[in-house]
Order: sequence, then structure tokens, then C-alpha cells
Amino acid sequence: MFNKDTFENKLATSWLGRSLYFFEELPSTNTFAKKLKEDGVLHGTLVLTDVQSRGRGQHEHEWIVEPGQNLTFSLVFQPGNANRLNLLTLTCALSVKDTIENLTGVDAQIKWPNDVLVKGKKLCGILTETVFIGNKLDRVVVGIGLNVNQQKFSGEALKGATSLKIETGDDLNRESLLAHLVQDIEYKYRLWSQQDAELLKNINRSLTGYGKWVSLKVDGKQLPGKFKFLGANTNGELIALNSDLDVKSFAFEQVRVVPL
Amino acid sequence: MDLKLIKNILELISESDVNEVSLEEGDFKIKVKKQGEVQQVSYSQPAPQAPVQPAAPQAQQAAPAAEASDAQKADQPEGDTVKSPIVGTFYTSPSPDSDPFVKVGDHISKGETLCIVEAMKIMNEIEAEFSGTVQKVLVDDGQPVEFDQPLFIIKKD
Repeated sequence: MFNKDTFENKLATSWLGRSLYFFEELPSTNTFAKKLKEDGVLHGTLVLTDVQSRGRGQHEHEWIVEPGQNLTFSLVFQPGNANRLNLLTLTCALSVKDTIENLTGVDAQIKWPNDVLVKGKKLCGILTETVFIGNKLDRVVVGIGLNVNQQKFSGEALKGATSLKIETGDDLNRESLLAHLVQDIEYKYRLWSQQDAELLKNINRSLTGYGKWVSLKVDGKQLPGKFKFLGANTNGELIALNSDLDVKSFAFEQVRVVPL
Repeated sequence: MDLKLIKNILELISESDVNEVSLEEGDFKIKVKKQGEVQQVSYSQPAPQAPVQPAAPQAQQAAPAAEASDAQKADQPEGDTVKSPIVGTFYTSPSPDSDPFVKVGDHISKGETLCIVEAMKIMNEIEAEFSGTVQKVLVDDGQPVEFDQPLFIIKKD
């Protein structure tokens, strides 16, 4: 059972996670965060549950994991505009990678645009959603599911998954892990909002296939030929070179990067 | 009409989506046509009676176009337009097998979700700024939308 008090005692942030909603069980932390009334939500609100009964991935794909073993939470940001939001997803992915590397030594990579992998297996999935009121961005909700102490993944959807317990053999203290992770995201959020060049470099260097020849699947369709994957540019667009070395960029398409 | 004015007109046209413009000022006529990247400029300084004749067919051509846009306006229900705040793919429902968020004729309340515009796997929910009745859904499910593209017409309460 996740201990909320232990977590709050360990949390050393100034604004992220200071407004906390904790539930023993909740259908989806992202849905809860999106539905919070305007006066109930702050920049930095954290919604956390021990048992997420109806977690979602892409297009409502269910993402159900063992209760009480992992971390499932959502962070609310109010950046004021919707620019470079996919870089915010990647920034959070980098925080996950850096935090687990510091705490456990496990080496992870970021899979464009929203997963964290260990040796090709999925350790963490991120689902970013936003709420616009008319034309104005009200909030960004970054939902993070991180597999911590779960030992077995069964079923078709989860066969490519792993956890920190599987990778290290050790049980991890989830309260401490989350406190470290949230602190790292708070730090990197500032870098993201300042368009820090070093942050972008670190994201790109952590991407699977970065600097290598890959094939690209765009909106479900395989593009002919091979591409050199150059990661994201400052606007968050995916940049790749084709075999004639022409620059190709993708600003809003769903792109899958498949290493050759 | 001086050269500076012509230059300004050319600049305006090259920056706009307009492909062809005809202007008349007394005896002076200028017609500018955009063909791909190349601009063709033709001048004519016709005899005093001539301007009436070439101008006539253009007026005739313009008339049906004006009627069509009037007809379109009459076709378009009254109300406020909800536009897309971002570039992406328009979805009327939260998942392929669920019901749409809203349909024509639905009464919606302020804060209700109207649609999702997805970009780079980020799901952007567009909520209603005001209460009203959905008059028209202007984009089909799964279609790409541009920034500021009209999505719905909603009649305010």
C-alpha cells in the first residue's frame, strides 16, 4: 500500500506535487485531472492512485497492471500555450530515465514519442492530454505509468513489458522513487520552459535510434526508403534525413521510429 | 496609378492566397495573375470606350460567384464558430467504438467536451466556452485540421 504521508515527507519540491490528490483506487488519474474544476486545479497538481482500474494508453487502449506494485499518476501543468508540448512529454520521459538510472543503475532509452524502454522492453508509458476551453489552453495533463515492483506481465498487451524489480531483482520504495522523480521533473520543467539547449541534447541522445538509419512509419503508413533519425528540433518536430540527405520534418503526425 | 502602387499590389498578392486581381482606375487597367511561383503582369491602356467591354465579362463571371457565396451563407446555420486551436487530426469521439461527444441538435453546457484534436499522440480536448445548441459539425471524424479551422457552429443560449 502506497503511503501518502511518507511520500509527502520525502517530497522536496517547491511547487510540483504540492497540491496532491491521492486515491486508493481510481479509474484513471488523467481523466480525474482533466475533470477537476478550474478552482480545484493548480499548476503542479499531482493526482496519484495505488490502483488504477481503467488506465489508458493510446486511443483508450487499456493499460492495466497489478494493483499496489507500480506508480500511476498524473501531473497538471498550465504553461499558458500549447507550444512544444511533445517536448514536455519527452522531458518527463528523460526524468524517468535519469531518476531510475541514479537510483538503480538501470540503463533506459526513450522511445519516440512517449515511452521509456529497458533493453527494448516497456518500463514506462506516458500519455499527455490537454484541455482547451474554446481556443485557450487551460491545462496539460501528463499521465505516467511506471512499472516498479510487478514481477510478472501476462497477456498479449503486456508481454513486451518489464519492471524495475525484474531488471534489478530488488523491491523499490515507491514513495521515495516518486519523490525523486517528481523533483527531477520540477527541475527539468524549468529547463523545458526556458527552451534549454542542453535539455534538448540530452533528450535526443536518449532516443532509441538517434543518429542511426531507421525506417519511419507515419500515421500508420511505412515510408519508402531509410532515414537518419536526428531526434527533435527546438520546436519539437521530428527531424530525419532521407538517403539523399534531404531534411524531413514531422510536426504533428504520429511517427514510429523503427531501428533497422 | 504610379509604379509604387503597382509594386504594393504585387506584394500584397504574392503574400495572399488570391490568384488573380483586376483593377481599373479611369483608363488605366491592371490585371495580375499568379501562376504557381511565377507572376504575370499585363497592362493595357485602351481607347476611351474600350474599358466597358472587357470589364463586362469579368462582371458576369463575378456575379455567379457572389451568388454562390450568398447561397452558402444562407445554408450555414447561424451561430458562433468553434475553431481548432492547433494543427492535428479531428476526432468526434474518445475512441473509435464510442459515441460522439456531441451531435447536431445536442444542447451542450459550458465546459462540455466537443471533440479531440490529436497531434503527435497528444490528445487535445476542446471544451465549449459557452452553453448552446450544436448547429453543425464542419469536419468529418479522422480528418486533418489546420490551426483556426472552423470545427463547429454553436448557437449560444
